[in-house]
Amino acid sequence: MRWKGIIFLVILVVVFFIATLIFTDKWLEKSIENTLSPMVGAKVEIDNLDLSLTDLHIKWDRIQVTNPRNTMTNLFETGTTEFDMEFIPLLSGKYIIENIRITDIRTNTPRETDGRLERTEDTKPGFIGQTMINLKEQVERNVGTEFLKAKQKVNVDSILKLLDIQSIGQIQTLYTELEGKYTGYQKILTEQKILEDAKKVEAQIKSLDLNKMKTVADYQRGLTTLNGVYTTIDSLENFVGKTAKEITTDAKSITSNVGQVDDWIKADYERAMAKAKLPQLNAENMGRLLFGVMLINRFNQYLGYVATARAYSDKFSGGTPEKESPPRLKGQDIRFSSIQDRPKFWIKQVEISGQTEDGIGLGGNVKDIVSNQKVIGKPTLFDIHGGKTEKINVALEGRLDYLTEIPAESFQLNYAGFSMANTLLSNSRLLPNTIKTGSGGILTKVSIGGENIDGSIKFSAKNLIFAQDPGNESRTKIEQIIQSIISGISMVEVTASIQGRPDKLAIKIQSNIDRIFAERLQEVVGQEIQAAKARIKSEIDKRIDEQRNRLNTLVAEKEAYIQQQIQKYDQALKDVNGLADAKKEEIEKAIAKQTGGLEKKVKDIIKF
Amino acid sequence: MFGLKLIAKLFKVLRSGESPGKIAGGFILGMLIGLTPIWSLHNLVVLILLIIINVNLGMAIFSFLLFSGFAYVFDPMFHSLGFWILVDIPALKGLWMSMYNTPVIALSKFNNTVVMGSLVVSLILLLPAFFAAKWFVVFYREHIDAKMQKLKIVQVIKGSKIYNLYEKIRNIGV
Repeated sequence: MRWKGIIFLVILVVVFFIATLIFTDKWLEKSIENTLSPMVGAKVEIDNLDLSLTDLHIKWDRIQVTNPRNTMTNLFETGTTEFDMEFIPLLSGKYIIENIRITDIRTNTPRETDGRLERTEDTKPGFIGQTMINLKEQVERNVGTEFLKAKQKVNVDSILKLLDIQSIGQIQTLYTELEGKYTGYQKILTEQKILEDAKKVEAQIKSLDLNKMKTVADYQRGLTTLNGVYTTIDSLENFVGKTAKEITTDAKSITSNVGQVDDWIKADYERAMAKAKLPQLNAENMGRLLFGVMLINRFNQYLGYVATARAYSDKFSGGTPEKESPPRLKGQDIRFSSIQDRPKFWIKQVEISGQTEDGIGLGGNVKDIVSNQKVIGKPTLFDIHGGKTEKINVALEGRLDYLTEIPAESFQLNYAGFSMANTLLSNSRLLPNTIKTGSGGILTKVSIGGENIDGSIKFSAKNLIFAQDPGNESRTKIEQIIQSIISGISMVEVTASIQGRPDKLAIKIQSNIDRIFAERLQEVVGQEIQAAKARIKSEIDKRIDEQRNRLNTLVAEKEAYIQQQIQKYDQALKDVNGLADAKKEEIEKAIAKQTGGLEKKVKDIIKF
Repeated sequence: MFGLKLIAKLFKVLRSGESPGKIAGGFILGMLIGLTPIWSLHNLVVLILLIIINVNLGMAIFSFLLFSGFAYVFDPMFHSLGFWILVDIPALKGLWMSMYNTPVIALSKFNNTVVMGSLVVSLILLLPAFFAAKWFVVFYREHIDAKMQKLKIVQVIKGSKIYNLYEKIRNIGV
């Protein structure tokens, strides 16, 4: 026993205890910030956290949660927050909190520093991430507004400069590949020297001279030679037949390869159209053009929260985990969850009170934020509501249910009567004017079960007066039309619905101003857009034609050559076969004649 | 300088009159801390043992540094082994579940794949390493030490200005 060591150990424990008293607050503050920040996707900051070790009471003066979409603004910040943690579960590394009271919540407050995380993951894993990508792609397709920049005409030349026609390279590669294949066929056909062999056989047949055959035995030898000739012809015919069959089979794959060329060209055409951002100016597409990006961004924001909730639910669910590749010396934490025990993390209730940036009072609660719902047998519920006057009210209700095998989330946000002054109706270039006065309302309903999504957003704005665009002489005709339409709008109603699975999403966006925008824009730029599309298509065709024709010529020429060769070989073999048959017939006749004479002589002898 | 000091210290330990058992004890405890992630509850226990049991601390430090390097190299294998033990053996699931919910033990990070993998390897190596280290100390003293002292490199190091300086500084500290 090392007594000095024991004294050292006692000193160490005392030092550790003192250090804990001094540094735990900062350490805990950092730990919570580091845990929450990646969940939000932007900085979460806590001010003056204080942990009382005697009664496990935690208090902080403020928590700021940065808006990941605008990192100079907080999604919300709170005033003083206090809560107690249970002691016994802490010994098992479990955090159980009965009630957190968060007061003085304020939304959309400005930040003094940028709340961007140095490394953020924009993509959400799993099907929700895929859904978000698909939604964005779908809504951005065919909603280009590049044509708005054009003064008089759509500048097709500048679009053509940017064209990246991939099919040219693809056709060239196919050409080289096919050329190689045809060379191979030609080699096979010529190396065998079918015609030379046929001539040799022919010479062999012709060398069988009947005048030189005197006896039956001579004829029999002739027939034996002919049998050899037939065997040679058979083997040559077999080779030609087999080669022709192989080439025909291969030719089918060539045909399908050549068939791809049209798809490649089509893809080039679609890429060019996407680059040109020339939309379909019809009422069906106008909703997307006017409000699509804005609404889908909003919807994706909600999906992002759901994805985070699901990811953490999966992580703590206690099912068989997937093996990860953690950084060195970090390892992977395996969680063991049992419904007989308490969860790893459980906030039984969060009571919230505060107000939005518009001074709308908020109150409500979130119940059962828990690492594994199956352990407590309850879903997470939230219910936050508020209002300012009778006209302005907000209500957010939701349920995150991970109690069964199929995860389900549903929530509804109803925000009505809010002021739209100094905001934009949409971030579309077609609606550039700031709103001077007006009020809005939005009702969002989202329900997700497994991988099925059913969501709708209804947005309405009324009593709208738009700030007048100062205007100038360089304003295009399209811009003039847009201003004239906007000046006549006093009410807007938009509905969007998103339904289906990530691979098959049906998006519908409609508004009461779709038709008027579609008709007026169609009048001015419809023809121009069609002409631009036609010109882009013809330019692509022109650039591709040379390669396409070269490929088609190669296929036609080589196919014809090979077919011709095979026919020639067939004919040559047919000819020698005929020659052999004729010779055989001659020999057989000669044999018959000779054996017939012999018979007559024998009969004459017998008669005498 | 640190490396030189460590090597000098190692040879000094091997040549000292310390019993082979104490040196081997220091070696295996250092190995345990070195092979497993340092911030683990079991390492606190090992550290307390190191402080209160009369084992050779110099050898423990050397062993800790040596095996920390091994731990870095073999980390992927520890991860795989730990994952296999924690996830792929159904018979052990009940044990892990109850440990996970047992106060204090739950804080031991046993459910981390690298902690589990490296701890299992350390425990398997514990006894063989102890006897091997003990045997090596005896063997070194009987067969290698005299030859080592005659080696030119040792004499060069011992005669070098750096070593003399080190000795002087060390003596000042005493």
